[in-house]
Formats: sequence, C-alpha cells, structure tokens
Amino acid sequence: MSGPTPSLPPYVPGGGREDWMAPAREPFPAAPPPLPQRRSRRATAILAVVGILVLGALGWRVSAEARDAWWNGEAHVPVPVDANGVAELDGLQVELTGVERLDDGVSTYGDRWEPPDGLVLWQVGLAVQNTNTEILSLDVLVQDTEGRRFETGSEVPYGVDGVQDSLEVAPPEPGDDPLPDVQYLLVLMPQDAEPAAVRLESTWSLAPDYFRLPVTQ
Amino acid sequence: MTGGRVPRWVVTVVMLAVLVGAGLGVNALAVQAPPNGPAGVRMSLGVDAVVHPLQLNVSGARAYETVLSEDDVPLETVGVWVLVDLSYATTDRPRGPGDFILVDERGRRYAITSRDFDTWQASPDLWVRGTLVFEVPLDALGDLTLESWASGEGPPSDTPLPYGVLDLSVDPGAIEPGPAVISEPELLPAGQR
Repeated sequence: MSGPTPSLPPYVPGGGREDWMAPAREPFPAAPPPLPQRRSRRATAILAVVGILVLGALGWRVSAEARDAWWNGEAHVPVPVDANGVAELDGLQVELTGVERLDDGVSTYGDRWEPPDGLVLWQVGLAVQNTNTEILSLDVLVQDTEGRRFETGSEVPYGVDGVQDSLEVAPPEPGDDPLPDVQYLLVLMPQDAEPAAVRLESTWSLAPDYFRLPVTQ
Repeated sequence: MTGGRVPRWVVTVVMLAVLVGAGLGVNALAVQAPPNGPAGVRMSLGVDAVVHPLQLNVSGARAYETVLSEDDVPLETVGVWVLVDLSYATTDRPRGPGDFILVDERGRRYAITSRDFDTWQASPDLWVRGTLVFEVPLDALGDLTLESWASGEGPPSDTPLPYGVLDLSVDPGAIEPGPAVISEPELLPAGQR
C-alpha cells in the first residue's frame, strides 16, 4: 500500500523547473579514502606473475610431446672427456687421435681424386674400444667453428687405402680381429670451415648422449 | 562544444564491436590464408634462396614424354614428365631436402614421382646439382608453382614452418619426346650452382 502522494509545490510560470521537479538534494557522500599505492602495485605484480605461471604451465603441457621427442632423440648431452682426451660411456671408449687436412687429395682404385674447387678434404683419426653390444654403429661428424656439421664418408671417394667408409664400433665376435687401433675417415668441407670438434652420435643407441671430442691444434 | 563524458554503455558496445570484429577478421584470415603463409619464402629462378635449413637454387623446368630410368629403361606415362633442375645445400648439418611439391593452376598438387627417382642428401654449404622428376597430367602444364618444404612437414602442418615458393612456366607446346636422361646428382665446386 502506498501512502498519499506528497503534494508538489505550486507551478509558477517562469520559475525554475528544477526547483519544481527535482527531489530534495542531498550532499554527495564523501569519497572513500584512496587505496594505498603499495597494495595496488603488489596486486598488479601478483596478477602478472600468476599470468606468466598460467601461460608457462599451458606451454609446458602443450609442448610435452615435442620436448620428449627432442630430449630423447637429439644428441645434446656430451660425454665428459678426461684430461687424456678419452671419453667413455657404458663400455664404449673413444679418443680423437688427429684431424689432418689432405691438400693433395687421395688415391682411389689407382686414380687420383681431388675435391672440387673451393672444397677441402680432411682425414679424421679415431681410436675406439667397445664392449657394449648394444652400440653397433655411430655417425661421425666434424663440427666447424661456425657450428656447421659435416658427415664423414659423405661425398668422398671409396676405396682409399687405410681409410674406412664408416666407423667400426661393434665389439668383435670371439675369433674375429679386434677393432683397429686407429680408424681413419674422410670428410669434405668448404674451404672456410675450420674443424672445432668431432661428434659421434646415434639416435637409436646413444641419444641424448653423444661424444664431442675437441680438435686440438 | 562541451567535452562531455562518453556514456559507459557506448564504451561497452564499442569494445564488444571491436572484439567481435577482430575475431571475425582472424577467422576470415585463417580460412583464406594457408596456415604457413607468413613463413613462405618467395624464390626466383637462378637465385639462391634460404628456406632454413635448406639453401636452394632452381635453374628451370622442362617437359618430356619419356624419361630413362636408372636402369636405362624408358618410362612411359599417360601424362607428361616435368623435370626441375636445381641445386641445394643445407645451412647447418647433413639432412635430406624435405618435400618438393609441384602445384598446377587448378591447385592440384604433385609430389616427386616414386617410380624411380628421389632427392639426395645435402650438407652445409656443399652444393649438389640434380634433377627432380614429377609425373603430371598434360593439362597441368602452363603456369606451375614449385613448393619446397624443407622441414618435410608439408602443408598439413599446424606449425608455421618455412617453405619456399617459386613460379615456374612449362609450355604445353614445348614437350620434348625424349627420352630424357636423369643425371646423377653432382657435387659442385664452391660458387657454382
């Protein structure tokens, strides 16, 4: 139930409309005191941190498969090399005996082979001992000072005396000859490539570990 | 004029309109443009291009009725053989070149023939020249596009991977009878393509 309508003041022509229609004015309430600036900044910082954590967690979850594939499939954990230049992992021991530039080319099946102009042939010497029957082959690459990697045995001639097409790693069977004391491999690189390290990798039997043997002058 | 404040409902409506408009725009772009569009590299004939991790230089394309297989057997086709001559190297380490795809004017896509030929391995800055062989229908000739997917992921990839795009023209009236001999890939002296 509503009470009686309050009577309006009589309308006066020419008089102020607001005075006639407007309800009684009340003073505005006092503005609340401003929040302390410190608390506002803290809230902003917390919000930013939470946002970053949420994004990071989402990214971590989404990239799980890619991380797993990269971590297990890419050679990125170098095996430590001791003071004598020998690196050993799970019964496989390797040592870089030398990296030599072959400016005069090589003989292959009685013919002389020289690399195309602007390319240089190198010879890599490696001493390998292995008792691990699960590591049967390794890719051998030479990494230059610019980080480029060149695979031994690629674009080089076959049938060169004293040089192998690929590195022998598999442990010899009883009665077989032992692995050679030093195995030599060929690698072709551009003229501006300076060898910095020799890498021995295997996606299947070694990754994520790999051997990284620095080239010492 | 007096600089009155903009009503809140106007601000809200404008913000909503901007958000909806941006969403529609992104949707339209996603539908119209290939997902890898921004990473495409436009190549030119005879000019080195870098489509990481591949460097390549395409010298031209030609068409033949017959090609010789590696065993010197003439390979017939109901269409035509398109041979693309090019050289390539990598930028970082030894790897294959990924996928090459020939696209005709109607958008039909052709991979390298699997009948006898293949690509070859490449190494950093060691250029090797060879020939890619595509088998296409006769009406595919004319203006063609060669795509180089160095990642090997190809167009279905959701990741914006780099790929190379090159316009090629093969005149349907200039088909040679052949048989074309596909040379072994050749390691090139420094500076040659």
